[in-house]
Amino acid sequence: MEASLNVNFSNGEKPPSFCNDHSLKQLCDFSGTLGPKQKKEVKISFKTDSAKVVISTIVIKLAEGGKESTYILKVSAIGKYPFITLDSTSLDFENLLVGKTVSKEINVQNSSSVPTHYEITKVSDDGKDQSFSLSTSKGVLNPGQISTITMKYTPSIAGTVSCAYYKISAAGGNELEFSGKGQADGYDVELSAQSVHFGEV
Amino acid sequence: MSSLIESVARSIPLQGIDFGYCAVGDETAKSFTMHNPSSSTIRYSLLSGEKLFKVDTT
Repeated sequence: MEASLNVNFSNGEKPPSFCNDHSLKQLCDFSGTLGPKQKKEVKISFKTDSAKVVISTIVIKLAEGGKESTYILKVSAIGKYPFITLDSTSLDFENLLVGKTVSKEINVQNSSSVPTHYEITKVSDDGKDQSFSLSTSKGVLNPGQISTITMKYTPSIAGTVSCAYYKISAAGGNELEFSGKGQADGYDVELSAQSVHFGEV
Repeated sequence: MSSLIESVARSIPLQGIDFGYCAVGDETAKSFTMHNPSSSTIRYSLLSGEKLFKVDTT
């Protein structure tokens, strides 16, 4: 359950008492004492679930003996959705001999102005075809950064056509799909002669 | 206003803290150090006016 309470401050009125009474204590994110020559690190964190501009204040009260002062710390942030792009959505490995391996690369770029985490998952995978593999399944991209993902194709059953579909998603942002396909060729071996005749020796 | 309180207030970035662009769904944190240079004990409390900003100690 979530509860909120608006606290209004105005000139000439008595400010709310220090965080001693129970109702205000619930609102105090952080309170305590600072001893002589003591230092304390204050961490302010911001997390939003939508793209918006947030401007707010943090009320800081300091008191010593019977004296008390209130300070206003202005905090602001701009929430933005991350947005990733791919330079290709389909990789064609064409025909390849069973047991051989070919690698191809696909680039993912963070086209937004905020850093993002991305994750790659296989789509509709029954786990039977292990011909395709990726160099990574997740990563972090700073604004504008490009990361290269390597896809490997190693066919194992001759005559089969393999396709693998992947979904890449940016945390809190967009989702894209890409795929790889290839065909496995078997070895085509034949004898140059059915028999060897040494003639009369 | 007590000069002791003022001396602590000087360690607070009262010009404000700008988080800039923040990714939706990700947590972004900034910190500052409150310092009491005096030889008296100072009581303090911090109250965020917006639930998206959380205050904590490390």
